[in-house]
Amino acid sequence: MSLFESYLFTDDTPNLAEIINSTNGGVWEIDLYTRNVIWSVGFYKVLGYEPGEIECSYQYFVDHLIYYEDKGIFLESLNHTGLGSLRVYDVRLLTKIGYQWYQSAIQKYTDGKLVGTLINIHQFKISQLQLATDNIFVTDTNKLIKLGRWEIVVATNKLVTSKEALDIFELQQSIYSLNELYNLFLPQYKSLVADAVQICVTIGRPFDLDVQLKTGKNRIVWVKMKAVAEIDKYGKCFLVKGVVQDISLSKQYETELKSSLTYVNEQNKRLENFAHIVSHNLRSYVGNLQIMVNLHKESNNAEERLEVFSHIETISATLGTMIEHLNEIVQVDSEKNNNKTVIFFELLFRSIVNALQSNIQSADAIVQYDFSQCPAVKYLPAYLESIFHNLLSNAIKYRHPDRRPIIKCESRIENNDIHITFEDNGMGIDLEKYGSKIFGMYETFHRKSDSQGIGLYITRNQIEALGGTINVESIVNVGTKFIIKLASSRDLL
Amino acid sequence: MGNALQTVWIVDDDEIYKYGFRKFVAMKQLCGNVVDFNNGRDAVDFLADPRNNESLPDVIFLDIDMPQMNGWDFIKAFEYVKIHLSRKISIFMVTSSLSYKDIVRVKNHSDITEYIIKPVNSQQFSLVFSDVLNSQTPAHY
Repeated sequence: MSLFESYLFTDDTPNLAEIINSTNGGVWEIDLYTRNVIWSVGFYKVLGYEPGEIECSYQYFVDHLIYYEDKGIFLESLNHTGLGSLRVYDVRLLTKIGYQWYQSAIQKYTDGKLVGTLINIHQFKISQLQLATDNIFVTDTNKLIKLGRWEIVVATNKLVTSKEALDIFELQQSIYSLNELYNLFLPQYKSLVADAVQICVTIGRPFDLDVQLKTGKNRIVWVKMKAVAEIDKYGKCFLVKGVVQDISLSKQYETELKSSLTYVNEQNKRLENFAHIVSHNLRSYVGNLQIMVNLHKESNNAEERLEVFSHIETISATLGTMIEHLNEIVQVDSEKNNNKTVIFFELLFRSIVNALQSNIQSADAIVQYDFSQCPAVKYLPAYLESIFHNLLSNAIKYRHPDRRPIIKCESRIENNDIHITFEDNGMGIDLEKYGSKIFGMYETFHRKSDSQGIGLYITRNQIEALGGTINVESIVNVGTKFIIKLASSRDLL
Repeated sequence: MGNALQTVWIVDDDEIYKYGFRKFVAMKQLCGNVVDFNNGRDAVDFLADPRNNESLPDVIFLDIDMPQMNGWDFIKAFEYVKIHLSRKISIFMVTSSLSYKDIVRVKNHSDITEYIIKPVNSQQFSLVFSDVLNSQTPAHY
């Protein structure tokens, strides 16, 4: 059986011909002057044809087989391959099932004659194209989710970072040393990352850390550092393969969620407190009222009945006050959407001092203020008035019996927040004992007849309803300091 | 007094409640001696003093919400003090708190006899007094 067109190869090369055909490749030859071409059997087969099924001519090849876009590279190779040199190029040729990729290597072995091979590289070419597309896809995806890659080569202790990682670090140039990497992280996270890498290298434990770093542009961002160890066949880690992801946005959402959760919790506590007063305090007064009414009914002694009745009067008055308090508390929440106006601390404070003048004088108290650092605030006037009034009258009420009361009120801006401090040298509160209850309802810490335990509760409500906080520092027999934060100054100035 | 308890304590900061309690006990002649304390601290101090061993109560009506030392802190202190006491004291928790947590705690505490929710009516009180009397009777024989 003839494997080749007989005129291409002589009889003494059948083995060579056989070998070439079995490689699933084709061989061709062209005379550049006459444009005569010769194709091997494999040439037809590799294109999916039987020998003789298609016309074996230069013209047919150029007109029908080669894809029009690839004609250029084909002709260029034909005309510019120098004597003895080898050229390899890829073209698409029409097979029985459509165009496919082929690779041809041509060589000029005598003047005017070229010989070439032809092999099908379609699968390879498709995979290559697919890979390129995939790479673009991966890069785009990484950019989209702000993901960068990094590796540590254990043997050399060197760092390799992808471009995306450098983008996250906002660095212009690659960094190669681990210390440079560690130094990016904020001090509190530096050793955390370094230790995790060390453990990953020594025992191969993977890690996943949410940490903060300072970028090359001095921005502080949250990143996720995640890595696994690549181990050799002895189980030793030779490569730490990691990713770094910018998670600032989700961290920000997380923080916002946390703060609104805190707010909801606070509000819940206030509601619980409210329920407590209704269930506990009202119940006990109503209970007492019932006891007294019963005693009044059962008593035969006129004098005793009079005494019992006076108690009934006291209880009913207390109940009335309590209902008023409940009203006040409900009002705090319903009034919080009223219009805020600009209030000058000094004007307001002086009017409160005036209103409490008789108390201040009888206590011989020194009242000082300094609002120079933050003279005004945009707030609900009624709230601020009530806050000042409560804290000032508290400070006077719980003054220390052994010394002249000194009460100081100051305002200032700190971290964009307006802070008001209220400080006295009074009796102080045992915070270890009462700390959790101090702003609760009907909690009093001093055995004083006029303690009602409602003031601080309302004060807290009036501050928290507008997004602020109130905290207390106190030492028994030294004094008490209330620190109020009135939300951010952006909204309040 | 025969059919009445010797001494009853009220540990409660509610003056009106204490007044009503005294009046009620006097009217029904349930007990000869009612002693009251404003908070748990004063009551514990009294119990811990060995000189008072002759003037111990039969029953303590204990409030939960009190300044200085609340009812639960009193119970904790009582656990230490009770071994030195010359007689068994029945403790009744009396409170207006409807907290389920408190009720469970009382049920699980061996030193507390019962939980009474304010307002206490006269039948409840009478029942408590007769219960305590009955439980004490065997000891007298």
